[in-house]
Amino acid sequence: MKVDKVVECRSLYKSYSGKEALKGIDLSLGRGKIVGLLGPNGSGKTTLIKILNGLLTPTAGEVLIDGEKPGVYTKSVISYLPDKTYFADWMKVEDALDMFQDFYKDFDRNKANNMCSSMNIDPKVKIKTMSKGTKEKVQLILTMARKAQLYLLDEPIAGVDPAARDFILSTIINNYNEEGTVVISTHLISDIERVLDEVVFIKDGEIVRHSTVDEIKAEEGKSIDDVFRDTFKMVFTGGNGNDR
Amino acid sequence: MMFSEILLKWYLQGVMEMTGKLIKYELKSAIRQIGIVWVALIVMSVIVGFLKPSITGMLPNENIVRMILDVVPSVVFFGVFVASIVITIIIVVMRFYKGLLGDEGYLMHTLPVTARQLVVSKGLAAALVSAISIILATVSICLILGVSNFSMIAEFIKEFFQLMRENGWAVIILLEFIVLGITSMMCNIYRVYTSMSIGQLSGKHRVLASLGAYMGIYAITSVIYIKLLNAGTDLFVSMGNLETLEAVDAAKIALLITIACQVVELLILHFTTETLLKKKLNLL
Repeated sequence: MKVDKVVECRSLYKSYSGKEALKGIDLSLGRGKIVGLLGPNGSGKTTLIKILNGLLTPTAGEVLIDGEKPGVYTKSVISYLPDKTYFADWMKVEDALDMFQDFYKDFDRNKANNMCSSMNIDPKVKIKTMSKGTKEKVQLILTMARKAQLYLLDEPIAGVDPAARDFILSTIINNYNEEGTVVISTHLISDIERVLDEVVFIKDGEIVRHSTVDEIKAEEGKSIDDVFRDTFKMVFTGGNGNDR
Repeated sequence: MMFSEILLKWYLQGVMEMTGKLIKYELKSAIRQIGIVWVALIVMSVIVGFLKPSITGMLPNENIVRMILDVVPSVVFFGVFVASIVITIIIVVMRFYKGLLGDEGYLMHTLPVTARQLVVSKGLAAALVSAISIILATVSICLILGVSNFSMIAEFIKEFFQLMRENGWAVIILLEFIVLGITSMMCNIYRVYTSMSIGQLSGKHRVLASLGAYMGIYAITSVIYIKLLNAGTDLFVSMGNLETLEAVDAAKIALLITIACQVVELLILHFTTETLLKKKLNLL
């Protein structure tokens, strides 16, 4: 741990082929928080996460993770769960576990093994042959078995049924490093509302609100889901649904 | 310190620590795909070169079994031989394309390693796999020829070493050829990498764009190499060296210059690829 703020973004811009995906994001996140990054499809959630983890370079502005610019160090303290399946065809679960153990000093192999057995995942099975849901569980195990400073979870509950959502959320809550911060991006607010400490509303590449859940409840007396619907009700006029 | 050493040190800076681990996973992945073909290649060459002659030798000339045995193993060997070349090329292309530009990229590019380490590990692993394929293909041909013409190969090897012992220049030229073989192989691999890194920029038409980029790179490098060759020849002629220079010395110098050009090409291709992956990565 180097500085107070685990994430610090200053006037961050990103444009792809002429289209501005992020328009001047200023964001700082403290430690030990579970933060919801909330916005409709195409609002810039994934772009922001990809800039934080170094998959994209911003067009302008500055990003600091644990006080450092994106690079080898920041990648070593960020645990990222993409909305894609990233395994090579040949890998068994144990190969993926070996790989994480090899590359991440903060990876807890025992914890990962225990999570596998509690989810009935056999480490000897080839990942390619597993169902989509099981593959997602394996990625969740790999992500949460690290003692990271920053967890970036991109739409972790989007593709699963409500029962599985609760299971995934409790896995996240029970396993994250409490000195670290968890960022969960989603448009399914009501399902994750109960676990959040802070919310960041993102709309058309801009942050329109960043406050604690307690503040919102005290000020508006409504659920986050209702506030979200109020904030974004003008947005659903079409959009291309292209979530980048 | 020689210029080449400075370049090498610069190139290797920051590469060594995690690169070994990356290469390990790269090789694991490649060998799972091609290992069986390598084994098949050697097994078939032993069958064709060794077992087949000893079995058919026992059968009469017009025997149908003998005719089948004469043809089938050779055809299978040829198939495996071609497969080993094709699969090697597919592995070189796909390990980079799927591993760094496809969904696997979400894992690889978020590991605590630099873009340089990712590219170098892919390149070295690809070179190693290609080298093993080439060596095994050569061995398999030697195995086939070796049984019927073993004395010829032995004679060749004997004369070869004789030449090496008697002439210092032959050793140097051999070494230069080996280095040239390695740099040519790396250049071919890196041209593919650079084309795909350029192709991914186009988003939807990345395969087509990669092919276009490859043709572009191929055309540009061909033109440059031809121009350099002409310039080199002109230089020798203008210096009036062609008569006085021994053919062997000319060969030594020409090989060295070619190697130097390929090293420069390799560095340009590498830094283009690295920069594109670092600054312009476009995972879908």
